[in-house]
Amino acid sequence: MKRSEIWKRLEPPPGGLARLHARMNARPSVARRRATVALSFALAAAVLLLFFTSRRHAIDPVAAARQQGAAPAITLGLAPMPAGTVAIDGDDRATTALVEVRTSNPRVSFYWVSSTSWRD
Amino acid sequence: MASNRDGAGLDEATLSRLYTKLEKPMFNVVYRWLWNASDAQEVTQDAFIKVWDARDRVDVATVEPLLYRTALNLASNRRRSSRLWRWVGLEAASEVTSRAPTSEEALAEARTAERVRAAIDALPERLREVIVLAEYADLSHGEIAATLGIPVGTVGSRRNAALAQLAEALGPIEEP
Repeated sequence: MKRSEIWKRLEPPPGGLARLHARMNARPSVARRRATVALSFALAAAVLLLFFTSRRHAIDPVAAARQQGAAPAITLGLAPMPAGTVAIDGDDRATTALVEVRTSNPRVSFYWVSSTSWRD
Repeated sequence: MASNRDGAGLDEATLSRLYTKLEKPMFNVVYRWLWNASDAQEVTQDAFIKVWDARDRVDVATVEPLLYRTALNLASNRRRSSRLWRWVGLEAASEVTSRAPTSEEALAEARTAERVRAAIDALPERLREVIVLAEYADLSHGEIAATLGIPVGTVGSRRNAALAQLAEALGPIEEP
């Protein structure tokens, strides 16, 4: 094969310099782009900060029930287990905590129910 | 290569002059990465725009190797992403295969172009960048070494290896 066939030079599409200038002028200035990037980072940081601070103050149902307990001597989780079936009615809501205990089977969960209003 | 070292940064007139001088060789180099004229022109211009954005830190004396290096990097990135999109079926094949030649002569020319393309495309990138810069941009071994950041001796050995691989695929390369 001839060299000229292998290394054949092509002409670029016409109007390249004008297009280059048009592209350069159409772009926002470097300072403006830097400001946009800085603003984006600041916004992302603010969103992350909000996410983590809101997570830290998420309500812990056990702690909340403990705080509202009528009998301070009884600690949730250490309270004696009721002997029979326990019914929780509307009045018990403020003093009862329900905690989901997951198992290795994703379709099976236990619920740990405890209340400061239970008595021996 | 530019040797008008004056210590000044890149100005718009110098950039225009450089573009006029380098547009064709750089377009031909980038074209052998992308095989599409409008993509090759866009990437060539992207390289100039990238260097223009960094003009305060650019030394005019070394701007040509920098432009070629930037264009090669951008072309490699575009080629990789283009292959990925083609693999997932979201991008059409490049223009060379889609053009239908009309006469026997044009058909033969298209076949030759397709063989050359396949042979150049099959070269490993480190060999392709050396041979393409040497043959399409007419850069000397020293200029290619400065562009790619490799020793001059390595440029020579890679060029020979590329030529040997091309001769294996295309047959002996004759002088015109």
